[in-house]
Amino acid sequence: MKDLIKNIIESSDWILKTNLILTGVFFCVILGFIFVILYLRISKILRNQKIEKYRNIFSDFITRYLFDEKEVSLEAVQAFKQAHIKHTLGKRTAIQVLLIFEQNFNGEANQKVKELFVQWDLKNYIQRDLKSEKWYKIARAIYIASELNLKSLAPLIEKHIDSEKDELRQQAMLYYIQLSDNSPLEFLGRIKKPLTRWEQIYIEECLKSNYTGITPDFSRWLESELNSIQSFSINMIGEYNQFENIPQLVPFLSSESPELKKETIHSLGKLGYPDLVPHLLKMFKNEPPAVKSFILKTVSNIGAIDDLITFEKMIPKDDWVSRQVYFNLTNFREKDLSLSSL
Amino acid sequence: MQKILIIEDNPMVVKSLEFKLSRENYEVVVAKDGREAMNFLDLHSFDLVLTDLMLPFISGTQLIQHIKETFPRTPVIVLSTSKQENIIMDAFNLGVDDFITKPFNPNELSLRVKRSIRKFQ
Amino acid sequence: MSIHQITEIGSWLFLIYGLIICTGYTFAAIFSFLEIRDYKRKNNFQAEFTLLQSSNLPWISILAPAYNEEANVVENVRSLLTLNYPSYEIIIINDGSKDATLQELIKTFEMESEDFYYHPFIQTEEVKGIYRSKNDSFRNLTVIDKVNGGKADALNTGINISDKEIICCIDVDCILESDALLKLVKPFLNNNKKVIASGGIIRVANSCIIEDGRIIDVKLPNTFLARAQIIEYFRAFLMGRMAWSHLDGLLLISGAFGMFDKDTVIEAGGYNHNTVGEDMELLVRMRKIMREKEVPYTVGFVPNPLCWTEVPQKWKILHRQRNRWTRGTAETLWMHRKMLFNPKYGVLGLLSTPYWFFFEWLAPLIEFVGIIYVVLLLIFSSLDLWVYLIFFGVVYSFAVLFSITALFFEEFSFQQYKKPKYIIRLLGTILFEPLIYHPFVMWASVKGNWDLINGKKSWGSMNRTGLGNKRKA
Repeated sequence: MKDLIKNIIESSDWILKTNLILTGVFFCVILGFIFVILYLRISKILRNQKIEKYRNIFSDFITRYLFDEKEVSLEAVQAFKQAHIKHTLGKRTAIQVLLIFEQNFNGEANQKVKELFVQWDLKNYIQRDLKSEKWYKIARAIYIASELNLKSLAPLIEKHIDSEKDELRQQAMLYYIQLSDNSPLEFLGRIKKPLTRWEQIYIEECLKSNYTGITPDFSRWLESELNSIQSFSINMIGEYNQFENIPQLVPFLSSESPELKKETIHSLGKLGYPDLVPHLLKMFKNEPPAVKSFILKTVSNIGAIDDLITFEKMIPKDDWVSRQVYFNLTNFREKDLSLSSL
Repeated sequence: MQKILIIEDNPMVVKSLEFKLSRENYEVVVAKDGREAMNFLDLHSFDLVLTDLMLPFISGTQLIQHIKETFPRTPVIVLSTSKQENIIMDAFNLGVDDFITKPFNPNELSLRVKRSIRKFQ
Repeated sequence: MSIHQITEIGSWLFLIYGLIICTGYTFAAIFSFLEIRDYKRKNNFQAEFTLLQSSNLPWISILAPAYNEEANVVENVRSLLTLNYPSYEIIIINDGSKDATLQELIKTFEMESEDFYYHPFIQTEEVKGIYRSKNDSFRNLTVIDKVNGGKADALNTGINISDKEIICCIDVDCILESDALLKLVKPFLNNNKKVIASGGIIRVANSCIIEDGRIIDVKLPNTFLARAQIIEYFRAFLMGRMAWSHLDGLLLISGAFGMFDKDTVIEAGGYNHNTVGEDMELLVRMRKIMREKEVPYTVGFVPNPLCWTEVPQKWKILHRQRNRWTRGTAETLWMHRKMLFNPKYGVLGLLSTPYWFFFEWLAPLIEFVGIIYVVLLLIFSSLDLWVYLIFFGVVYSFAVLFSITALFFEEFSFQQYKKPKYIIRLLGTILFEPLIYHPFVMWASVKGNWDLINGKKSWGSMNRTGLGNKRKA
């Protein structure tokens, strides 16, 4: 073996030397990875055990704090903090557990959870995260701030409303919606980056589940520069039955963008705009097949069967998309499938 | 002592309900899914069943149907995240006695539990 | 030219090829690390299931071709019916099965034949009937009965029938995670560029405990063959696809589970039934068209395990599968040879297609020739054994390194194999995989090329043991 190695080292064949060195390098990196894999696995197991332990301790304490007839004293709360909530893992688990309680209970129990959050000094921890450089820490902190209704942190969150990082922007928007009293979507007037469908869905769900103030008048943003915001407003006017905004929606029926047109037809359909069918009759001929099929689906939902037949006569012979849609509408039992097909 | 069966997989909610309801002198039995619940129902008789709708293995509706058929005098309260009207209507059509949406007020829940049990006595 | 000179040239070529592979590996590792880390950070706080109540999520048509699947099709459909997504429909296309596939579906789901209007936006074999259910619980299930035409043809039929915007093409016996649709549709909704397709990570379902169409417990398979494939899937998905997605040069979305923008698919002409690699060929064609139209677009990749599939556990069936994959790759590359090194196609032309050509298609052939060459030299010349051992050492240690890196990424991201002993066993598999599994797959590829030249076109059959066998006792 020694001779072999001596032979190789003395040989002038550098290709072999290179290969040997490479083999050596690979071998070392392999060992490195094996070590890292085992380390990751073991440390994850240990960490999960610790987290499990913390979760039990925390949920027991919180349960007592919320539901015991005997009030838990301030000293006890502080003593508990000293004992278990000193390091990062403890703080993060405590926040996690508190959030679960907060999301499941409302009323007095909910208030107490928020008290505990402050008494355990976790608000400072969140504040520190908000000032961090790393976007994912900020995003998580904003999420926690919105769940726990921490109004005082608004100035720190303000600047992220139009952030480059999508997640950060989304969390900031959701924060504003949840904590606002009467103008949850005020930021729509300020943002410059378009609103993606995903963000729109999140905003809508947040408005419906978490926002407790007065419903904003969505027509405010119909004149926005961003198509996505216009689309969102049109959709929401229909969703929230803002009948008073029908006149402002009608002009969008002749919009240049097929997306906005479809959205408007959908909303006006939902609102039961009486002149919708005549309007659609007038515009039908000039629309591309995608919009035509959408019109057919809408008419099937809001109009009478005679109206649908009138439209059918106007479908060009070779517009197979619309013909297929028409056939399915008149034969298929389920009508409710159609309207949500945006 | 009156016996309550709770079917819920969120451990924090379980802990809270157990704590609160046992303080009010109920005996609490916890199942984490529909199958376990069926087993418990075979072994004991309960004064009330508190269940979620989204359950692994056996759907909430199947479970409720089974309870209403086998134990018609046992009130069932649904505790669910779902706010959709059609789901709530379906539940009441199955014979459920009360429907509480999450997030919920634990004090109110305990009042409704008391009320439902009293109705059947 | 002397043997020595040939060996010298051979060594040089080998070194250059090797260096390119090493560079590729390094970049793949870096990109994958960045993508996975980014994905973890984006998804570790807010749950997305609250979105499931939204009525604004787009409609999805799941298209699942079925051929002679009477044993499992009902089970599979039941599993699809429990997906957690508010607006989707399931279209099963019975591709002229010779067994009772259609009858089983009709019976179990109370289906009845309906009048239909079928326009072939893409040409397909004849549609014999369309069935929908009388039962309200199955109202989002449709079954199409058609004359046999192959998987591509069946999918095209489904595409023609669907009137939704987004289609999801799956293998009917794959198990999907319950939130798979929500996760896979996100790229379509969360991008300012147009997204034409998205795919996710496919996992190996063998030996996993499955109940009610859900994976309950993930177990490591007992057979070496299945474990070797697990490692291979780690390499392919956790490093390969991740890196290509980072560069936006993804050429393949797995036929087992992929989501597409229907209009773009129809515009591209649908699946091509003249190739056995129809999944890759479609995506390449779709990308080509978007590029030629000069519309900014992208292909999404979701670094999340969304789909579980059964892999071959018998060598013979594995051979058939890999033989087919090779023929598919070769056919696709040939059909789109215009893109190779063509700067008009950007990353696709300059990086993706050359990579597939040299390192996916050509590599097994080069290896094969290399091995024969080495063996011949060993037998007929007097060059030292240790020269070959060194070459072998470099190749072997690199192969192990690549697999270990993929295993590291698995550990870093999902740790689906919870028990530490599974990791130890996988480490063992990694050590033997280059010696036993890899040469076999290489041989299957070489044979695939041979068969292609000789005009073989079929799919062959896949012996499925079915999901139903894996119930907990």
